Amino acid sequence: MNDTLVMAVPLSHYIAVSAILFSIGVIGILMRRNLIVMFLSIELMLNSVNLLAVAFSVYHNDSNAQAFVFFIMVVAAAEIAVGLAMLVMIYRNIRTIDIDALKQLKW
Amino acid sequence: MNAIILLAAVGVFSMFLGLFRLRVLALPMIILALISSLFIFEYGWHGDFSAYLNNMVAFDHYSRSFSLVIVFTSIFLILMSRHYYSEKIEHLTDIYALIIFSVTGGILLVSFQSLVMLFLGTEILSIPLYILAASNRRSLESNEAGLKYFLTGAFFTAVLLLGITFIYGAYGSFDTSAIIQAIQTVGPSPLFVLGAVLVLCAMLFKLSAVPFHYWAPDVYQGAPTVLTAYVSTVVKIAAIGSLLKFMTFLGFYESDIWINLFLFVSILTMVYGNIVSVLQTNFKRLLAYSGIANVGFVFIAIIIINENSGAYILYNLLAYSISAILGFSIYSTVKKQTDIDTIDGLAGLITNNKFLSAGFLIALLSFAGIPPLSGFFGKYFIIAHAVFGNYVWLAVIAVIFSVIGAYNYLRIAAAIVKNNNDIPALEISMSYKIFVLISMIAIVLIGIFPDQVIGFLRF
Repeated sequence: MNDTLVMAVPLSHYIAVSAILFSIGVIGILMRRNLIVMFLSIELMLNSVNLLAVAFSVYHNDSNAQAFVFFIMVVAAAEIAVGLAMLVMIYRNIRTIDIDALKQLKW
Repeated sequence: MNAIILLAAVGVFSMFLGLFRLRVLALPMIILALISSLFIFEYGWHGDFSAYLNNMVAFDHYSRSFSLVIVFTSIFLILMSRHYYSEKIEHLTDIYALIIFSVTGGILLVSFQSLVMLFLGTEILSIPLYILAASNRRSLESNEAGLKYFLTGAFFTAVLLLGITFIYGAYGSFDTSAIIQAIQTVGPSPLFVLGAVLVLCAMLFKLSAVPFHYWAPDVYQGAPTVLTAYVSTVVKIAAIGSLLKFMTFLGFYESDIWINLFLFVSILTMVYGNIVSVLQTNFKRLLAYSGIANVGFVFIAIIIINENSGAYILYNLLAYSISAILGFSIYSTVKKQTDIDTIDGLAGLITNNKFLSAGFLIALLSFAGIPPLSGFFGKYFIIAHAVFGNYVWLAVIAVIFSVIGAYNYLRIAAAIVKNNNDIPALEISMSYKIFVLISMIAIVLIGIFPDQVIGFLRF
């Protein structure tokens, strides 16, 4: 792998980009009410972590975190599969994917 | 490792049994597998997998004690789910399989040595739970509970991952022993503190400790009762096992910060859980809040961390879990036949259902901490631990709030023994009677022999 290409950008830039992407994901989950957009936001958060892990891995000259990224990808796929199944189920029951329609449980 | 392989294989096999319409075989097979994994953990027959594992998990004494309690509790849970779901339900074996997969994740979680395993264990533990929470497909409440659990769970997964990556970024390794070494030689790094706080947030979420408790009451109320019982027992044991392990590893780094953080969370959790539970009318919601309160109580043993804390935490959670499973199980039996879900609705249960009420009362009195039952010693050990650790004021707070908590349970008990003829005699099968009887005996026995149980769980 061509490490020098990655290291041409300083580590702090990678941290900043990941932090921005992660924050966009958090804001997306908190602000949007459409389930598909919320799932996208979760994916965005996980992928910002992937970017950070790869950057750290190159800077520490240690390949463990690159293997870790594959674990994250597999788990993210499994999680989204469950989430989409839930979305289909909810759509069949209430004919919408707006989560404000789900207000059965309150104290 | 043998236990994990056995349980995972039995889970897969159980799904196939459902496919070939051999449903009756699934339950005995799973119980057998769980009992044999108890033996595997007790006698340490883990097999030699060190060449493959690369020191990512360790099956030491710590993992033994926690895994034994996890597996023991899940035996009761599987027996409970056998009676919760009717025989004819189509995907019964899938539900067993999901529970078993989740138990496997719990075992991985308490034996982690590498932060990668912490992440994988959490996910293997949680993904089946999202499915189980939404498994009642036609019910909107169950859909909503599953979705809420999924969204918050996935969000905190990302937080956990960010924390792990920051810790990795600080020291360049996922291995806990390498990180401890790096902390001692290189010195503290702000990136590590940030990462550790994020990981702790994700763990507190799993435990439903106060700043991160919002999901718990909704999920408890909406999800099928088996899942509620599972989340409030096995998941909490596994999560606290990983938290304790993570804390011993943080202890190498300026311990005062973490102690103050946990004091804050613990007191807040006890106050909030106990006070809000007084206002509840729905039984499952009440137990959700009292479960939150119990987590705050258990945190006391994490604040004063020494070689006894693990055994006391395990004893408390074991006592709590068996009572919770019995309570939820009887509640679900009553709910299935009469559709009662409030506490006032339970009034006069004892008039026509002596046996069920006896089980219910034992569970509730054990929660409340009435002496010969196990719940009393669960509370006693932790309060004594606080007093011996020179945190008398914390012990006083804990006692005051456990009295408020006891009021809630006694409120339900008082409703049950009311003289009222509203609830007809419920049909219960012989095998269910045996299950209730075994749970009652377990609650009493754990309470009569606390020293032996503690000695067995010590590591």
